[in-house]
Amino acid sequence: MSLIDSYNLTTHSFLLRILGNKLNLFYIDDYLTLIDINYNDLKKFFFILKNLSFFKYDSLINLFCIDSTGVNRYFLVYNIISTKFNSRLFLRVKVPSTMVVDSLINIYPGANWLEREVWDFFGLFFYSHGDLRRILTDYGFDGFPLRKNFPLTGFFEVLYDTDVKSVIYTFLETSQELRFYNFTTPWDRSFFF
Amino acid sequence: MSRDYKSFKVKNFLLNFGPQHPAAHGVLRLILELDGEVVIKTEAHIGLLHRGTEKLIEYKNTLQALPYFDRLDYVSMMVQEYAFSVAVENLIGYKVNVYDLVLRIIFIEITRILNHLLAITTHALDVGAMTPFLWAFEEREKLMFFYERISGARLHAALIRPGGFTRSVPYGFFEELKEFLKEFPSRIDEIEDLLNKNRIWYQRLYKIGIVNMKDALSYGFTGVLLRGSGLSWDLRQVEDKKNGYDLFNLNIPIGTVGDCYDRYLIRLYEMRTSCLLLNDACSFFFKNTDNFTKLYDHKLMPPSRAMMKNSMESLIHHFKFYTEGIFLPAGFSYGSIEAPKGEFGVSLVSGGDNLPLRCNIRSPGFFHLQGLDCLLKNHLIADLTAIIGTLDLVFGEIDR
Repeated sequence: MSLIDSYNLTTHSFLLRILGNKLNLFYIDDYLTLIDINYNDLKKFFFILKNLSFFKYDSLINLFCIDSTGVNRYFLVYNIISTKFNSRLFLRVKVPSTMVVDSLINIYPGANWLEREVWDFFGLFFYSHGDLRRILTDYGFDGFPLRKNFPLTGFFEVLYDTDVKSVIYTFLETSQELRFYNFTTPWDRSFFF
Repeated sequence: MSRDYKSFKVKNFLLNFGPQHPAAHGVLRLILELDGEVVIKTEAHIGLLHRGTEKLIEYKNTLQALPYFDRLDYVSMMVQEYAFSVAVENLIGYKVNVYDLVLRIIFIEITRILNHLLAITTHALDVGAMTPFLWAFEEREKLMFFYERISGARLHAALIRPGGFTRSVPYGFFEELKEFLKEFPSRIDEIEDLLNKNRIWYQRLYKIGIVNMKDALSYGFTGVLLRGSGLSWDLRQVEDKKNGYDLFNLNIPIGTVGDCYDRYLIRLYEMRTSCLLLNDACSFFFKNTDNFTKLYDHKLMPPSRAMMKNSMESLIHHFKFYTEGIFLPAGFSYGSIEAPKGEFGVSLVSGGDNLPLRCNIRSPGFFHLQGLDCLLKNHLIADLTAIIGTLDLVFGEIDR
């Protein structure tokens, strides 16, 4: 085992020792380390992980949302790295669909667009974000396109109308229903949820 | 003449930049708040090239999803295929053999040179130097020839697949690559001759768009923008056990000032590093000719036509592979690679069938563009093009 790898393990053991009673799950394998936390601990957790000298998770690499279509519908997955200890950590937060999540903008300024993206695609509201506008969809877009109940084809199409001489939005008309091949599996699908 | 300053009311004004501007590198719309010629605040409007890749991939099996990755950052194609393939392999728990690992490195490094040639020279074009652009595109054409030799496609190759490669290397490929590598460093020299000590180039880049290490980290910068600020953080080195870079020597250049000129020099140096890596990788294949075990999992890679004619299992595998695709076990995985622009990552969540439940794409450009406000603050509007150029933006990956 190299020195760098042992650094990584040390950070994780500190994680268990310091924050262990707040973790719902600590999962580690060859590829990744994932911890499960409560959404009301979110801000405190990231503050500690960023600033405590045992961790120094100084960069928020990614944040994305998963729509699991269950009761506690959304999962937020945060991906942070510590360049000091060469460690990467995934934090998973279960969010009920009516809940508001704390924004991380004061801890990681890079969370700004990521949270806007989650708002844009899933409609999850971030408390104290301050500038929560849509980011990737069209101006004036309605609905949250990455939710599982949003159809792949969408509701509107854009076309050039020669009568009006302008680009217009109309209701989508497809000549054929979307053909969706899904092969269900008898095997266990319980890992992530 | 005396002036009553109280009656004046100086107001900042807003200027719209783009979305159709040659210096915007695509469809970038900026709302600039200007105080005279000084930019006070920048607000980027993105999403004009949004194609819903992440949503589409939720309805596609692995084989169908792969070509979408070529089209994200359309100047560094194979790196993204690699990230997706690694994400799928991690989910399944499959480890590729050493032969394919090194071959992947070869194509990643070719892609890195392709990308940096474009990045440096379009940056130079924005700042006013046209010739390097023309020269670099000649080299890019030669490099794309290597793509074409193995996959038949110049740009969107769909070559690196989960489990290995689509095709095997044609005869004489490594020899030709070595021939190219003999020539190429002097081409970099020529570009350096034109730019390095060029007074216009130097003055427009030196101490422009300085970003310190703390800002770079907290804004999620990776790649050249982070290394330009002085932090030696390169996923090729950091995760070298996983991606096979521990077989080779790797030099990682870092900046001292953190300005546009540093980042330009780093890109140049990285091309040279890639050349050395390619040379080493070619030698690796010359040295170890027959010692590779190339056993493929036919749940991931389709069996060859010849095998199909003789073995029933192969026929079944072929049928199942092309109708159902790869079954992804339930779970979560992350595949990432140091793309030429920064960390490119793919997060896959699967519920246990052949379609991913969610496929999130972490594109470096998204974060770099987010930091534009921080980089551009209190610069003149003329520096805008120099700073956008140094970010190396491609809207295919930012808008996804």
